[in-house]
Amino acid sequence: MPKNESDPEDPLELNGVALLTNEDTHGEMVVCFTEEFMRLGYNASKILALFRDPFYIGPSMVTQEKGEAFVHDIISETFKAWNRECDLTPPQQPQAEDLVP
Amino acid sequence: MSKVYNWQLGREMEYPYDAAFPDRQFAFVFNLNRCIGCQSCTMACKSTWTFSKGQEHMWWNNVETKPYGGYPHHWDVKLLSLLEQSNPGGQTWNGQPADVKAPYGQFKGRTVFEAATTHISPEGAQRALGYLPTDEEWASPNRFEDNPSGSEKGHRGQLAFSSGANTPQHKTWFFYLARLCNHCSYPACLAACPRNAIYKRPEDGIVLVDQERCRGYRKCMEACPYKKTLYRGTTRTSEKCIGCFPRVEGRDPDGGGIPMQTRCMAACVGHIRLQGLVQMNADGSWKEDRQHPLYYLVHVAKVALPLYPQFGTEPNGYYIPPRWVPRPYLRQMFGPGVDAAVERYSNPDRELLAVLQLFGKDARMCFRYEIKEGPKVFENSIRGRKFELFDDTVIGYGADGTKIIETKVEEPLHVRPSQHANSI
Repeated sequence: MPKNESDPEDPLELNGVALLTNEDTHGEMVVCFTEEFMRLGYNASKILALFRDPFYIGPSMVTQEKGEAFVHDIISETFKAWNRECDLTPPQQPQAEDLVP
Repeated sequence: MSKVYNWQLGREMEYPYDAAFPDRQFAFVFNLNRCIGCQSCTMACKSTWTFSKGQEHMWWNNVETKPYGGYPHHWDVKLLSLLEQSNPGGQTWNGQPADVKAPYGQFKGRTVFEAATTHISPEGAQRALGYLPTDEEWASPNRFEDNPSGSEKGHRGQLAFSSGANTPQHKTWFFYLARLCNHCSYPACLAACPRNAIYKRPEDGIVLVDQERCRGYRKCMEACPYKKTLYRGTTRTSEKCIGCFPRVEGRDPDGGGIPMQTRCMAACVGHIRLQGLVQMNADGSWKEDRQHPLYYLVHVAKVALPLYPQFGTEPNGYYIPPRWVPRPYLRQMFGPGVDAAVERYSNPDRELLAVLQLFGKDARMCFRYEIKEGPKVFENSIRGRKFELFDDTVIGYGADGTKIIETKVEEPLHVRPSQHANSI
Protein backbone atom coordinates (compact mmCIF):
# COMPACT_ATOMS: atom_id res chain seq x y z
CA MET A 1 0.00 0.00 0.00
CA PRO A 2 1.35 3.44 -0.85
CA LYS A 3 2.76 5.47 2.00
CA ASN A 4 0.59 8.52 1.42
CA GLU A 5 -1.99 9.69 -1.00
CA SER A 6 -1.04 12.87 -2.80
CA ASP A 7 -2.31 15.81 -0.79
CA PRO A 8 -2.80 19.26 -2.36
CA GLU A 9 -2.22 20.78 1.07
CA ASP A 10 1.15 19.09 1.37
CA PRO A 11 3.82 21.80 1.69
CA LEU A 12 6.32 19.49 -0.03
CA GLU A 13 4.18 19.47 -3.16
CA LEU A 14 5.87 21.88 -5.54
CA ASN A 15 3.91 21.11 -8.70
CA GLY A 16 1.85 24.09 -9.73
CA VAL A 17 3.07 26.52 -7.10
CA ALA A 18 5.42 29.46 -7.24
CA LEU A 19 8.67 29.09 -5.34
CA LEU A 20 9.39 32.02 -3.08
CA THR A 21 13.04 32.88 -2.86
CA ASN A 22 15.15 36.00 -2.66
CA GLU A 23 18.04 34.35 -4.45
CA ASP A 24 18.63 36.24 -7.69
CA THR A 25 20.81 34.13 -9.96
CA HIS A 26 19.59 35.56 -13.24
CA GLY A 27 22.96 37.12 -14.06
CA GLU A 28 24.85 33.85 -13.58
CA MET A 29 22.21 32.08 -15.66
CA VAL A 30 22.76 34.47 -18.58
CA VAL A 31 26.54 34.11 -18.35
CA CYS A 32 26.26 30.32 -18.32
CA PHE A 33 23.88 30.05 -21.29
CA THR A 34 25.92 32.60 -23.23
CA GLU A 35 29.20 30.77 -22.67
CA GLU A 36 27.70 27.38 -23.51
CA PHE A 37 26.16 28.52 -26.79
CA MET A 38 29.18 30.66 -27.64
CA ARG A 39 31.40 27.59 -27.30
CA LEU A 40 29.01 25.74 -29.59
CA GLY A 41 29.70 28.43 -32.20
CA TYR A 42 26.64 30.68 -31.89
CA ASN A 43 27.21 34.37 -32.51
CA ALA A 44 25.92 37.04 -30.13
CA SER A 45 22.80 37.94 -32.08
CA LYS A 46 21.75 34.28 -32.26
CA ILE A 47 22.22 33.98 -28.51
CA LEU A 48 20.17 37.11 -27.88
CA ALA A 49 17.45 35.61 -30.06
CA LEU A 50 17.32 32.62 -27.68
CA PHE A 51 16.66 34.96 -24.78
CA ARG A 52 13.80 36.55 -26.73
CA ASP A 53 12.22 33.19 -27.55
CA PRO A 54 9.23 32.57 -25.25
CA PHE A 55 9.44 28.85 -25.91
CA TYR A 56 12.92 28.71 -24.38
CA ILE A 57 11.62 29.18 -20.89
CA GLY A 58 14.73 29.77 -18.78
CA PRO A 59 16.32 32.48 -20.92
CA SER A 60 13.01 34.15 -21.75
CA MET A 61 12.22 34.29 -18.02
CA VAL A 62 15.38 36.34 -17.49
CA THR A 63 14.49 38.72 -20.32
CA GLN A 64 11.01 39.22 -18.91
CA GLU A 65 12.24 39.73 -15.37
CA LYS A 66 15.30 41.85 -16.02
CA GLY A 67 14.74 43.40 -19.44
CA GLU A 68 16.64 42.93 -22.67
CA ALA A 69 19.29 45.54 -21.85
CA PHE A 70 20.43 43.39 -18.91
CA VAL A 71 20.83 40.35 -21.15
CA HIS A 72 22.40 42.40 -23.93
CA ASP A 73 25.08 43.77 -21.60
CA ILE A 74 26.04 40.37 -20.22
CA ILE A 75 26.27 38.82 -23.68
CA SER A 76 28.52 41.70 -24.82
CA GLU A 77 30.75 41.41 -21.75
CA THR A 78 31.03 37.64 -22.12
CA PHE A 79 32.02 37.85 -25.78
CA LYS A 80 34.58 40.51 -24.91
CA ALA A 81 36.05 38.38 -22.12
CA TRP A 82 36.34 35.42 -24.50
CA ASN A 83 37.97 37.64 -27.10
CA ARG A 84 35.21 37.11 -29.63
CA GLU A 85 33.60 39.57 -31.94
CA CYS A 86 30.19 40.67 -30.70
CA ASP A 87 27.78 41.48 -33.51
CA LEU A 88 25.18 43.11 -31.28
CA THR A 89 24.29 46.76 -31.73
CA PRO A 90 23.52 48.78 -28.60
CA PRO A 91 19.95 48.26 -27.43
CA GLN A 92 17.59 50.93 -28.67
CA GLN A 93 15.44 52.91 -26.33
CA PRO A 94 11.76 52.14 -26.96
CA GLN A 95 9.99 54.82 -28.96
CA ALA A 96 6.79 56.38 -27.68
CA GLU A 97 4.71 54.64 -30.38
CA ASP A 98 6.13 51.24 -29.32
CA LEU A 99 4.73 51.55 -25.85
CA VAL A 100 1.36 49.86 -25.55
CA PRO A 101 -0.92 51.75 -23.16
CA MET B 1 23.97 -7.37 6.56
CA SER B 2 27.48 -7.21 5.12
CA LYS B 3 30.00 -4.43 5.43
CA VAL B 4 30.84 -2.96 2.04
CA TYR B 5 32.94 0.04 1.09
CA ASN B 6 31.18 2.96 -0.59
CA TRP B 7 33.82 5.33 -1.99
CA GLN B 8 31.22 8.05 -2.67
CA LEU B 9 30.54 8.15 1.08
CA GLY B 10 34.18 7.63 2.02
CA ARG B 11 33.36 4.82 4.43
CA GLU B 12 32.05 1.33 4.93
CA MET B 13 28.32 0.85 5.07
CA GLU B 14 25.84 -1.94 5.60
CA TYR B 15 24.37 -3.76 2.61
CA PRO B 16 22.28 -6.95 2.57
CA TYR B 17 24.75 -8.81 0.31
CA ASP B 18 28.51 -9.10 0.03
CA ALA B 19 30.16 -6.70 -2.36
CA ALA B 20 30.61 -7.95 -5.93
CA PHE B 21 31.78 -5.75 -8.76
CA PRO B 22 31.78 -6.09 -12.53
CA ASP B 23 34.92 -5.97 -14.69
CA ARG B 24 33.67 -2.75 -16.20
CA GLN B 25 30.85 -0.56 -14.98
CA PHE B 26 28.22 1.24 -17.04
CA ALA B 27 28.52 4.94 -16.13
CA PHE B 28 27.59 8.32 -17.56
CA VAL B 29 28.15 12.04 -17.11
CA PHE B 30 25.48 14.65 -17.83
CA ASN B 31 26.35 18.33 -18.16
CA LEU B 32 23.32 20.08 -16.65
CA ASN B 33 24.59 23.48 -17.76
CA ARG B 34 23.59 22.49 -21.28
CA CYS B 35 20.27 20.68 -20.83
CA ILE B 36 17.37 22.56 -22.42
CA GLY B 37 14.70 20.03 -21.43
CA CYS B 38 13.82 19.13 -25.03
CA GLN B 39 13.02 15.49 -24.05
CA SER B 40 14.72 14.02 -27.12
CA CYS B 41 16.35 11.46 -24.79
CA THR B 42 12.99 10.63 -23.24
CA MET B 43 11.37 10.01 -26.60
CA ALA B 44 14.33 8.01 -27.93
CA CYS B 45 13.96 5.64 -24.98
CA LYS B 46 10.17 5.54 -25.18
CA SER B 47 10.13 4.71 -28.88
CA THR B 48 12.72 1.97 -28.41
CA TRP B 49 11.69 0.14 -25.24
CA THR B 50 8.40 1.24 -23.66
CA PHE B 51 5.87 1.67 -26.45
CA SER B 52 3.80 -1.43 -25.69
CA LYS B 53 0.56 -2.08 -23.89
CA GLY B 54 0.97 -1.78 -20.13
CA GLN B 55 3.97 0.52 -20.50
CA GLU B 56 2.05 3.72 -21.15
CA HIS B 57 3.13 5.33 -17.88
CA MET B 58 6.74 4.16 -18.14
CA TRP B 59 9.52 6.64 -18.76
CA TRP B 60 12.78 4.82 -18.12
CA ASN B 61 14.47 8.08 -19.06
CA ASN B 62 12.86 11.35 -18.03
CA VAL B 63 13.79 15.01 -17.72
CA GLU B 64 12.27 16.96 -14.85
CA THR B 65 12.36 20.65 -13.95
CA LYS B 66 14.04 21.13 -10.61
CA PRO B 67 13.06 22.17 -8.01
CA TYR B 68 9.43 22.07 -9.20
CA GLY B 69 8.95 18.66 -10.68
CA GLY B 70 9.75 15.03 -10.31
CA TYR B 71 8.79 11.68 -11.75
CA PRO B 72 7.17 10.23 -9.78
CA HIS B 73 6.08 13.48 -8.20
CA HIS B 74 8.38 14.74 -5.40
CA TRP B 75 10.34 11.45 -5.28
CA ASP B 76 13.49 13.06 -3.93
CA VAL B 77 11.77 15.32 -1.44
CA LYS B 78 10.01 12.31 0.05
CA LEU B 79 13.20 10.27 0.28
CA LEU B 80 15.13 13.11 1.89
CA SER B 81 12.27 13.60 4.30
CA LEU B 82 12.21 9.91 5.26
CA LEU B 83 15.96 9.95 5.87
CA GLU B 84 15.69 13.12 7.93
CA GLN B 85 12.93 11.55 10.04
CA SER B 86 15.15 8.53 10.57
CA ASN B 87 18.17 10.59 11.59
CA PRO B 88 17.09 14.14 12.56
CA GLY B 89 19.86 16.65 11.94
CA GLY B 90 22.39 13.88 11.38
CA GLN B 91 22.57 13.67 7.57
CA THR B 92 25.86 15.53 7.31
CA TRP B 93 29.34 15.19 5.80
CA ASN B 94 32.66 15.81 7.51
CA GLY B 95 33.76 18.05 4.64
CA GLN B 96 37.33 16.78 4.32
CA PRO B 97 37.91 15.41 0.83
CA ALA B 98 40.67 12.81 0.76
CA ASP B 99 41.97 10.54 -2.01
CA VAL B 100 40.19 8.45 -4.62
CA LYS B 101 38.72 6.36 -1.79
CA ALA B 102 36.91 9.36 -0.26
CA PRO B 103 36.88 12.21 -2.80
CA TYR B 104 33.95 14.00 -1.13
CA GLY B 105 34.97 13.40 2.46
CA GLN B 106 33.03 11.10 4.74
CA PHE B 107 29.26 10.91 5.10
CA LYS B 108 28.23 10.92 8.75
CA GLY B 109 24.55 10.19 8.25
CA ARG B 110 22.56 7.09 7.45
CA THR B 111 22.02 5.50 4.06
CA VAL B 112 18.74 3.96 2.94
CA PHE B 113 20.10 0.56 4.00
CA GLU B 114 21.20 1.72 7.44
CA ALA B 115 18.01 3.71 8.07
CA ALA B 116 15.90 0.67 7.19
CA THR B 117 17.25 -1.26 10.17
CA THR B 118 15.26 0.89 12.56
CA HIS B 119 12.29 1.71 10.35
CA ILE B 120 9.12 -0.31 10.05
CA SER B 121 7.03 0.57 7.01
CA PRO B 122 3.25 -0.01 6.86
CA GLU B 123 4.05 -3.38 5.24
CA GLY B 124 6.69 -4.38 7.76
CA ALA B 125 10.47 -4.41 7.79
CA GLN B 126 12.37 -3.15 4.76
CA ARG B 127 15.83 -3.84 3.41
CA ALA B 128 16.12 -0.28 2.13
CA LEU B 129 14.23 2.72 3.46
CA GLY B 130 11.65 3.70 0.88
CA TYR B 131 8.03 4.17 -0.07
CA LEU B 132 5.75 3.06 -2.85
CA PRO B 133 4.57 5.99 -4.98
CA THR B 134 0.86 6.27 -5.68
CA ASP B 135 -0.61 5.86 -9.15
CA GLU B 136 -1.28 9.59 -9.14
CA GLU B 137 2.37 10.33 -8.55
CA TRP B 138 3.39 8.26 -11.55
CA ALA B 139 0.82 9.98 -13.75
CA SER B 140 1.43 13.11 -15.83
CA PRO B 141 5.18 13.67 -15.65
CA ASN B 142 6.20 17.29 -16.20
CA ARG B 143 2.74 18.68 -15.50
CA PHE B 144 2.94 22.25 -14.16
CA GLU B 145 6.73 22.13 -14.06
CA ASP B 146 7.54 24.98 -16.41
CA ASN B 147 4.27 26.85 -16.03
CA PRO B 148 2.96 27.02 -12.47
CA SER B 149 -0.71 26.88 -13.38
CA GLY B 150 -1.97 24.34 -10.87
CA SER B 151 -4.71 24.56 -8.32
CA GLU B 152 -4.64 27.01 -5.50
CA LYS B 153 -4.24 25.37 -2.14
CA GLY B 154 -7.55 24.02 -0.96
CA HIS B 155 -9.17 24.25 -4.40
CA ARG B 156 -8.20 20.98 -5.98
CA GLY B 157 -9.13 20.65 -9.61
CA GLN B 158 -9.75 24.37 -10.14
CA LEU B 159 -6.98 26.01 -12.09
CA ALA B 160 -5.63 29.02 -10.29
CA PHE B 161 -4.74 30.72 -13.56
CA SER B 162 -7.65 30.23 -15.91
CA SER B 163 -6.60 32.68 -18.60
CA GLY B 164 -4.47 31.04 -21.27
CA ALA B 165 -3.59 34.50 -22.62
CA ASN B 166 -1.30 35.18 -19.71
CA THR B 167 0.44 31.95 -18.85
CA PRO B 168 2.35 32.36 -15.61
CA GLN B 169 6.03 31.60 -15.52
CA HIS B 170 8.54 30.95 -12.80
CA LYS B 171 10.20 33.99 -11.35
CA THR B 172 13.44 32.45 -10.25
CA TRP B 173 16.06 29.84 -10.98
CA PHE B 174 15.33 26.33 -12.16
CA PHE B 175 17.15 23.69 -14.16
CA TYR B 176 16.49 20.49 -16.03
CA LEU B 177 17.52 17.19 -14.48
CA ALA B 178 17.73 14.27 -16.90
CA ARG B 179 17.49 10.90 -15.18
CA LEU B 180 17.59 7.20 -15.86
CA CYS B 181 18.51 4.13 -13.83
CA ASN B 182 21.92 4.72 -12.25
CA HIS B 183 22.85 1.01 -12.45
CA CYS B 184 24.08 1.42 -8.90
CA SER B 185 27.00 -0.50 -7.46
CA TYR B 186 24.83 -1.32 -4.41
CA PRO B 187 21.35 -1.39 -5.94
CA ALA B 188 18.51 -1.00 -3.47
CA CYS B 189 16.12 -2.67 -5.91
CA LEU B 190 18.32 -5.77 -5.97
CA ALA B 191 18.67 -5.75 -2.20
CA ALA B 192 14.91 -5.57 -1.67
CA CYS B 193 13.75 -8.23 -4.14
CA PRO B 194 12.37 -11.23 -2.21
CA ARG B 195 12.59 -13.40 -5.35
CA ASN B 196 16.24 -12.65 -6.23
CA ALA B 197 14.93 -11.63 -9.61
CA ILE B 198 17.21 -8.62 -9.95
CA TYR B 199 20.85 -9.05 -10.86
CA LYS B 200 23.87 -7.01 -11.82
CA ARG B 201 25.72 -8.22 -14.89
CA PRO B 202 29.36 -9.11 -14.22
CA GLU B 203 30.51 -7.85 -17.61
CA ASP B 204 29.17 -4.28 -17.52
CA GLY B 205 27.34 -3.75 -14.21
CA ILE B 206 23.97 -3.19 -15.88
CA VAL B 207 21.15 -4.00 -13.43
CA LEU B 208 18.36 -6.13 -14.91
CA VAL B 209 15.06 -7.66 -13.77
CA ASP B 210 14.70 -11.33 -14.68
CA GLN B 211 11.18 -11.37 -16.08
CA GLU B 212 10.89 -15.14 -15.49
CA ARG B 213 11.54 -14.83 -11.77
CA CYS B 214 9.75 -11.53 -11.04
CA ARG B 215 6.33 -11.92 -9.43
CA GLY B 216 5.51 -8.21 -9.27
CA TYR B 217 5.76 -7.73 -5.50
CA ARG B 218 7.04 -4.18 -6.17
CA LYS B 219 9.57 -4.29 -3.36
CA CYS B 220 12.08 -2.92 -5.86
CA MET B 221 9.81 0.06 -6.57
CA GLU B 222 9.53 0.71 -2.86
CA ALA B 223 13.28 0.42 -2.28
CA CYS B 224 14.83 2.23 -5.25
CA PRO B 225 15.48 5.73 -3.91
CA TYR B 226 15.55 7.13 -7.45
CA LYS B 227 12.22 5.44 -8.27
CA LYS B 228 13.48 3.93 -11.48
CA THR B 229 11.75 0.56 -11.40
CA LEU B 230 8.17 0.51 -12.62
CA TYR B 231 5.31 -1.95 -12.48
CA ARG B 232 3.66 -3.29 -15.61
CA GLY B 233 0.09 -4.34 -15.05
CA THR B 234 -0.24 -6.40 -18.23
CA THR B 235 2.59 -8.76 -17.28
CA ARG B 236 2.38 -8.29 -13.49
CA THR B 237 6.11 -7.77 -13.32
CA SER B 238 8.46 -4.90 -12.69
CA GLU B 239 10.49 -3.40 -15.49
CA LYS B 240 13.33 -0.92 -15.60
CA CYS B 241 15.98 0.63 -17.82
CA ILE B 242 18.07 -2.13 -19.40
CA GLY B 243 20.95 0.19 -20.26
CA CYS B 244 20.35 -0.57 -23.97
CA PHE B 245 22.52 -3.63 -23.34
CA PRO B 246 22.56 -4.87 -26.94
CA ARG B 247 24.19 -1.58 -27.91
CA VAL B 248 26.59 -1.68 -24.95
CA GLU B 249 27.59 -5.19 -26.04
CA GLY B 250 28.37 -3.90 -29.53
CA ARG B 251 25.52 -5.77 -31.19
CA ASP B 252 23.89 -2.74 -32.80
CA PRO B 253 24.66 -2.93 -36.54
CA ASP B 254 25.40 0.81 -36.62
CA GLY B 255 28.33 0.34 -34.26
CA GLY B 256 30.27 -1.94 -36.55
CA GLY B 257 30.79 -4.38 -33.68
CA ILE B 258 32.08 -1.96 -31.06
CA PRO B 259 30.08 -0.78 -28.00
CA MET B 260 27.67 2.08 -28.58
CA GLN B 261 26.13 4.55 -26.18
CA THR B 262 22.49 4.03 -25.23
CA ARG B 263 19.65 5.45 -27.28
CA CYS B 264 19.00 8.31 -24.85
CA MET B 265 22.68 9.33 -24.91
CA ALA B 266 22.96 9.19 -28.69
CA ALA B 267 19.76 11.16 -29.22
CA CYS B 268 20.78 14.15 -27.08
CA VAL B 269 20.74 17.27 -29.26
CA GLY B 270 22.30 19.45 -26.57
CA HIS B 271 25.49 17.37 -26.35
CA ILE B 272 25.07 17.10 -22.59
CA ARG B 273 25.74 13.36 -22.33
CA LEU B 274 28.76 11.11 -22.33
CA GLN B 275 28.43 7.44 -21.48
CA GLY B 276 30.99 4.68 -21.19
CA LEU B 277 32.29 1.64 -19.37
CA VAL B 278 34.84 2.27 -16.63
CA GLN B 279 37.30 -0.25 -15.23
CA MET B 280 36.84 -1.36 -11.65
CA ASN B 281 39.22 -2.42 -8.90
CA ALA B 282 38.43 -5.49 -6.82
CA ASP B 283 37.31 -3.21 -3.96
CA GLY B 284 34.75 -1.36 -6.09
CA SER B 285 36.72 1.82 -6.63
CA TRP B 286 37.50 2.96 -10.15
CA LYS B 287 40.73 1.66 -11.59
CA GLU B 288 43.01 4.48 -12.58
CA ASP B 289 42.50 5.05 -16.29
CA ARG B 290 43.81 8.55 -16.80
CA GLN B 291 42.88 8.86 -20.46
CA HIS B 292 39.30 7.61 -20.05
CA PRO B 293 37.01 10.65 -20.34
CA LEU B 294 34.70 9.53 -17.52
CA TYR B 295 37.60 8.81 -15.18
CA TYR B 296 39.00 12.24 -15.98
CA LEU B 297 35.69 14.06 -15.34
CA VAL B 298 34.86 12.20 -12.10
CA HIS B 299 38.26 11.59 -10.49
CA VAL B 300 40.72 14.05 -12.00
CA ALA B 301 38.81 17.23 -12.86
CA LYS B 302 36.13 16.30 -10.30
CA VAL B 303 33.50 18.34 -12.12
CA ALA B 304 31.01 15.45 -12.31
CA LEU B 305 29.26 14.33 -9.13
CA PRO B 306 26.89 11.50 -8.19
CA LEU B 307 23.18 12.22 -7.73
CA TYR B 308 22.19 12.10 -4.05
CA PRO B 309 25.24 10.08 -2.95
CA GLN B 310 23.90 10.10 0.61
CA PHE B 311 21.27 7.53 -0.38
CA GLY B 312 24.16 5.03 -0.30
CA THR B 313 23.51 2.99 -3.44
CA GLU B 314 26.67 4.30 -5.15
CA PRO B 315 24.91 5.48 -8.31
CA ASN B 316 26.90 5.42 -11.54
CA GLY B 317 25.26 8.49 -13.06
CA TYR B 318 27.30 11.68 -12.58
CA TYR B 319 26.30 15.29 -13.15
CA ILE B 320 28.14 18.52 -13.84
CA PRO B 321 26.04 20.82 -11.61
CA PRO B 322 24.34 23.88 -13.12
CA ARG B 323 26.35 26.99 -12.27
CA TRP B 324 23.52 29.38 -11.54
CA VAL B 325 21.72 27.33 -8.92
CA PRO B 326 22.12 28.30 -5.23
CA ARG B 327 24.79 26.17 -3.63
CA PRO B 328 22.80 24.81 -0.66
CA TYR B 329 20.36 23.19 -3.08
CA LEU B 330 23.19 21.72 -5.14
CA ARG B 331 25.05 20.47 -2.06
CA GLN B 332 21.97 18.58 -0.97
CA MET B 333 21.59 17.06 -4.42
CA PHE B 334 25.21 16.28 -5.34
CA GLY B 335 27.08 16.29 -2.04
CA PRO B 336 29.94 18.41 -0.73
CA GLY B 337 31.95 18.30 -3.97
CA VAL B 338 29.67 20.90 -5.54
CA ASP B 339 31.56 24.09 -4.75
CA ALA B 340 34.83 22.85 -6.20
CA ALA B 341 33.06 21.33 -9.21
CA VAL B 342 31.25 24.56 -10.09
CA GLU B 343 34.42 26.53 -9.59
CA ARG B 344 36.40 24.27 -11.93
CA TYR B 345 33.69 24.14 -14.54
CA SER B 346 33.27 27.92 -14.50
CA ASN B 347 37.02 28.40 -14.97
CA PRO B 348 37.89 25.47 -17.20
CA ASP B 349 41.50 24.52 -17.84
CA ARG B 350 42.94 23.42 -21.14
CA GLU B 351 42.25 19.72 -20.74
CA LEU B 352 38.70 20.17 -19.47
CA LEU B 353 37.75 22.34 -22.43
CA ALA B 354 39.05 19.66 -24.77
CA VAL B 355 37.34 16.74 -23.00
CA LEU B 356 34.00 18.58 -22.96
CA GLN B 357 34.18 18.53 -26.76
CA LEU B 358 33.77 14.74 -26.67
CA PHE B 359 30.17 15.02 -25.46
CA GLY B 360 27.64 14.04 -28.09
CA LYS B 361 30.14 13.77 -30.93
CA ASP B 362 29.66 10.11 -31.77
CA ALA B 363 27.19 7.40 -30.81
CA ARG B 364 29.99 4.90 -30.21
CA MET B 365 31.52 4.73 -26.73
CA CYS B 366 34.78 6.49 -26.16
CA PHE B 367 37.27 4.43 -24.12
CA ARG B 368 40.31 6.67 -24.40
CA TYR B 369 41.14 10.17 -25.50
CA GLU B 370 44.25 12.02 -26.48
CA ILE B 371 44.88 15.71 -26.90
CA LYS B 372 47.12 17.18 -29.57
CA GLU B 373 48.21 20.63 -28.55
CA GLY B 374 47.19 23.49 -30.79
CA PRO B 375 48.01 27.19 -30.96
CA LYS B 376 47.07 29.69 -28.27
CA VAL B 377 44.02 31.62 -29.42
CA PHE B 378 44.01 34.33 -26.77
CA GLU B 379 44.86 35.17 -23.19
CA ASN B 380 42.60 37.20 -20.98
CA SER B 381 41.18 37.59 -17.53
CA ILE B 382 37.78 36.01 -16.90
CA ARG B 383 36.07 36.50 -13.54
CA GLY B 384 39.33 37.83 -12.15
CA ARG B 385 41.43 34.85 -13.21
CA LYS B 386 43.96 34.42 -15.93
CA PHE B 387 42.47 32.44 -18.77
CA GLU B 388 44.17 31.03 -21.84
CA LEU B 389 42.36 29.39 -24.72
CA PHE B 390 44.20 26.89 -26.89
CA ASP B 391 42.77 25.43 -30.05
CA ASP B 392 43.72 21.87 -29.14
CA THR B 393 42.51 18.80 -31.00
CA VAL B 394 40.87 16.03 -29.00
CA ILE B 395 40.76 12.52 -30.40
CA GLY B 396 38.54 9.76 -29.01
CA TYR B 397 39.00 6.02 -29.51
CA GLY B 398 36.47 3.18 -29.35
CA ALA B 399 36.78 -0.15 -27.54
CA ASP B 400 39.01 -1.70 -30.22
CA GLY B 401 41.20 1.37 -30.66
CA THR B 402 39.28 2.69 -33.67
CA LYS B 403 39.41 6.47 -33.92
CA ILE B 404 35.80 7.56 -33.51
CA ILE B 405 36.12 11.29 -32.79
CA GLU B 406 38.47 14.04 -33.86
CA THR B 407 37.46 17.59 -33.12
CA LYS B 408 38.91 20.91 -32.01
CA VAL B 409 38.19 23.15 -29.07
CA GLU B 410 37.33 25.96 -31.49
CA GLU B 411 34.98 23.79 -33.48
CA PRO B 412 33.38 25.53 -36.45
CA LEU B 413 29.58 25.68 -36.55
CA HIS B 414 27.99 24.78 -39.84
CA VAL B 415 24.45 26.01 -40.38
CA ARG B 416 22.42 24.41 -43.12
CA PRO B 417 21.01 27.09 -45.45
CA SER B 418 17.31 27.70 -44.91
CA GLN B 419 16.36 26.47 -48.39
CA HIS B 420 17.93 23.09 -47.51
CA ALA B 421 16.78 22.91 -43.90
CA ASN B 422 15.06 19.55 -44.32
CA SER B 423 17.03 18.09 -47.15
CA ILE B 424 18.75 15.24 -45.31
